[in-house]
Amino acid sequence: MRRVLTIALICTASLMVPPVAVAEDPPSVRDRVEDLQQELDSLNEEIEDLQEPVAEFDLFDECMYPIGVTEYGKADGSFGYLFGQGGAARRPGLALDIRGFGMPQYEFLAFPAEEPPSIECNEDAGQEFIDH
Amino acid sequence: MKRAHRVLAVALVGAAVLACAAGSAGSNRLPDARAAGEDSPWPRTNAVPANVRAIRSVVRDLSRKVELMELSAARYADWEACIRGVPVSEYGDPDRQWGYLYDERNGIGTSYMPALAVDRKSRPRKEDYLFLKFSRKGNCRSHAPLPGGTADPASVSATAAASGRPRAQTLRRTLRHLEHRVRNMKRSARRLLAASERFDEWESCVSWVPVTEYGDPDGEFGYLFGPRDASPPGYRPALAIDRSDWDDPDYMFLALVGGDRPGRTCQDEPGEAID
Repeated sequence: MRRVLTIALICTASLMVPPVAVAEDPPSVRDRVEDLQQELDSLNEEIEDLQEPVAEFDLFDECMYPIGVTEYGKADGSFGYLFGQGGAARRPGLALDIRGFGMPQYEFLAFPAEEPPSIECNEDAGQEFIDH
Repeated sequence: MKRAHRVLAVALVGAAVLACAAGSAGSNRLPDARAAGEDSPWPRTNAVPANVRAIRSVVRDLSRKVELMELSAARYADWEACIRGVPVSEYGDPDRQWGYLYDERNGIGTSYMPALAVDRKSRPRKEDYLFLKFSRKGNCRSHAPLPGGTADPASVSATAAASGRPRAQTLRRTLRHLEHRVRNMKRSARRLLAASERFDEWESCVSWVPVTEYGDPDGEFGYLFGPRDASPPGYRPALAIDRSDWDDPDYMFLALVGGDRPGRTCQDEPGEAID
């Protein structure tokens, strides 16, 4: 009986010890495969979650465009748009500058005038995929 | 006493058997034990090569997605770095009781109209609008968004998309390579998350300002314009906030309104248009 008890004790004790020793060993190929699969499952979820927010970059990029604007008139009031009672003063003002060869002073960012953010401005964007 | 020993021995042997069973189950961790679902990319087998092949395929698919997203993020980073603010205010009364002189030359005569001008006097954040302009300085010229948008779908470069037959590699080398790619993708995902948060913060602060150009570009009618001592003045068009209820504005300019600044205060809902 004592022998049985001793064997049982040794067996139990030996089973208690290995986990510590195993933890220090380099992971087996099987463990690495399993770890990679778990990491990929979670990475796949992360990337799925990112698709929509990142697609908003594209929407902006596809819809946004610069429009040339220049300020006409002088800030000192000698020349410009007539302003105030009887048009006595001259003030500068902004107007589009999209004709001719000169460079506009500003390229303001604009969106098409539909409801922003437009879903129509990028309708050509997926054409290539649709055609294929 | 002997009885007590016997009971203890039975308990210990039982515990040992259970521990052995648990130990062997723990070491056998591959997917069949995970009961892969219908959508799971992992094979229903414990065979390591089959699982490594599946991992390689998943890594390839995810890499393509990540690369496409990185292209989008890179384009965003390019134009984000080139955007500057220009303080603009509306001068004149929206109810047209005073302001710039405007003549439609339709017999009604001259009236007052508001118009937009660069605001050089207000303190920062006190201007009506901070219009967003695309800078021409430095590298920004090459990154300018195209008029009308690019309308180009993002595409993965040919090099990156090419997926040649994998070279013969040992399993461990293949695994090491895959682990490295997964680590890189995790870093990319973190960068993409940061970029999307930054974009969200910026976009939630930006407003769409309805703007129309009033007056004739050919100078037949519009805002009165000329030097102080000239008579009579000519006509020019100018930009004004479009408050018309029956017509769409010509443009929706992107602007930070009323002192809004990303990361500080934003009064409006994300991407809200100004009425």
